[in-house]
Amino acid sequence: MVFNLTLNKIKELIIDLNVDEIKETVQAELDAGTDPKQILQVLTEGMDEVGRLYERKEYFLTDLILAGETMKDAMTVLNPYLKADEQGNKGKIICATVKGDNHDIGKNILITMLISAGYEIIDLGTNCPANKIIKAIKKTKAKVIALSCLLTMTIEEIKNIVDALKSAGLRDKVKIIVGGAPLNMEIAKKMGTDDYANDAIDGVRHINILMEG
Amino acid sequence: MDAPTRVLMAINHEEPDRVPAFESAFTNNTIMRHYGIKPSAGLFAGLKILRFIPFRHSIMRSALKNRKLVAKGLKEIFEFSRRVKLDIGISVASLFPRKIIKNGFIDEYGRIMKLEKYSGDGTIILGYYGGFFKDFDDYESWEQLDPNDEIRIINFLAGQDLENEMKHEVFNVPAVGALMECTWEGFGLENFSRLLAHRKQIKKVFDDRGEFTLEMVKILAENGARLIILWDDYGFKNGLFMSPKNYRQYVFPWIKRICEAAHKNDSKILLHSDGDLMQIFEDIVSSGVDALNPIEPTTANPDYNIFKLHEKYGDKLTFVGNISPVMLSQGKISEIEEYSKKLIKVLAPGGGYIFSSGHSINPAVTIDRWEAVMRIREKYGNYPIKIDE
Repeated sequence: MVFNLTLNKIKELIIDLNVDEIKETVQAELDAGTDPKQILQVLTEGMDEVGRLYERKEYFLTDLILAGETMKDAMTVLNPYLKADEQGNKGKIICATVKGDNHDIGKNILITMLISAGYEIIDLGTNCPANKIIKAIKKTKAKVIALSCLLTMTIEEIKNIVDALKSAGLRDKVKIIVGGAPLNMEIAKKMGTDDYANDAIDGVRHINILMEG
Repeated sequence: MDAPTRVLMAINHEEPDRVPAFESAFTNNTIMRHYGIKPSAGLFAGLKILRFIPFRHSIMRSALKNRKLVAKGLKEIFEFSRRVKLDIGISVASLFPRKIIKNGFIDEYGRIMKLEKYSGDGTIILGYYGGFFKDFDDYESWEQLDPNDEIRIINFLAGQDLENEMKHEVFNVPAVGALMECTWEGFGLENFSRLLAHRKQIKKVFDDRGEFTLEMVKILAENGARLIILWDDYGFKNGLFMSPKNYRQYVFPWIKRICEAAHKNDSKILLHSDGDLMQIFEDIVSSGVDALNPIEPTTANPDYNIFKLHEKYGDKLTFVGNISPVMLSQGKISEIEEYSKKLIKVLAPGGGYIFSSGHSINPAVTIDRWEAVMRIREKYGNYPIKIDE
């Protein structure tokens, strides 16, 4: 739901990938006394539309990333105005690229989309060993782990993480979703995970379902 | 028949003695050792030592100018290629280190590259760790690539020395970084995406890259390179990095000029690009590209299928690929054999096909699976192709 013309402009700036104007427009809206939650809502609506355009192949990877950059810029202005419980109130997600793999593009796009969807993210970065994930689960009580794996030679690392979670008695406490170039649902299941997502947009959709389960 | 003749006949859609074979990258110590090659630490050891030496950049450049030393560095992979009957050995005309950093270097395109050891068999892997340029001003302050820098042609000529020494059992083919991959990687995808929003700036960057690649291809072709690899990536598993419109505006006009320049000098162009390229496939073909690698088989698009593409473009383009790297690391031997056989049976008759994986040979590929591929090529890859069932 869009409430006024300026708010609509913020949504359009996200959809139009206008990274140059977003900060000042958000700041102007805040200065005009608009509720920060309303601004967050239109930003999220804009990102949702970008996701739809990407799925229809009208937008491409660089567009998706630029939308994410635009969103990030908006959030640097908006975040100080949001109460702590309004940021990431849908739950905690652990995101990581598996050990031996330093690719972070897919993971970072997913993170931007998840933040926009209202989740709090614990980003464990790339080349992430199983013990770091276990430590993070114990500390944060996150319910979902999203693993990125871009290299064929690190596919087995997914299984190592699943096995480590079993050994730590945590496997039934978390859902694991994976994504990345060499993967598909069949491999995801073979490695002992719960789900697979084809891209970041698909990932958010699947994580929404996993969080409800 | 020698390797250059075999490869060029296939690209000309003629039948050589057997289906040629190629790998864009072979990083697998286990398989190399199996064929009697002891992989040296090479660049890894060199950079580790250089990092602590004064005048390291001058020393590095001196080494790159030394034709004999460069040939020594290339020999390992050329010799391995000869032993496993891979027809192409790659020399490089760009992608050279510019600044040495801890565990790696920043290359001349501004890409931060680091060398790592694969824990399994110690294979050294060169990985991309982000872009050096934060924005256009950063890029503009960087010394641009000079196609006439002698290290480029020396690398190709060192490869020629090896090809001659091996009596043309391996075809020395120079590779040059092209327009898209080196460009976005120099900035990182986030900064590159921001730059795309500024038309004049992004056009300048692409034009710089295009101008360099065009001149490099001209120099290589004039010096006898009969096939040149354009090292690039336009897509990934789920599609293109940027819109087809952007590719048509910034990239393909250059690719067309590059192909024309190569053809004018009796040279061919092999374009390497991963990913689902469906939306720009027609552009690739109409730009004049002679051969395309690797027609990645693990994209999310079922229509990006080498057999369907071959039906449509088989008379205009040579296909170089597409045995799945996942299959090569996890698949059943029987499925690898069946798929490899199908590739030869459908694509090789009449030429226009070069046997290759659908990405590269990485450390996860096992010897038995690699040998299954080679066995099929050995058994069924001789012309005339005869596969009945």
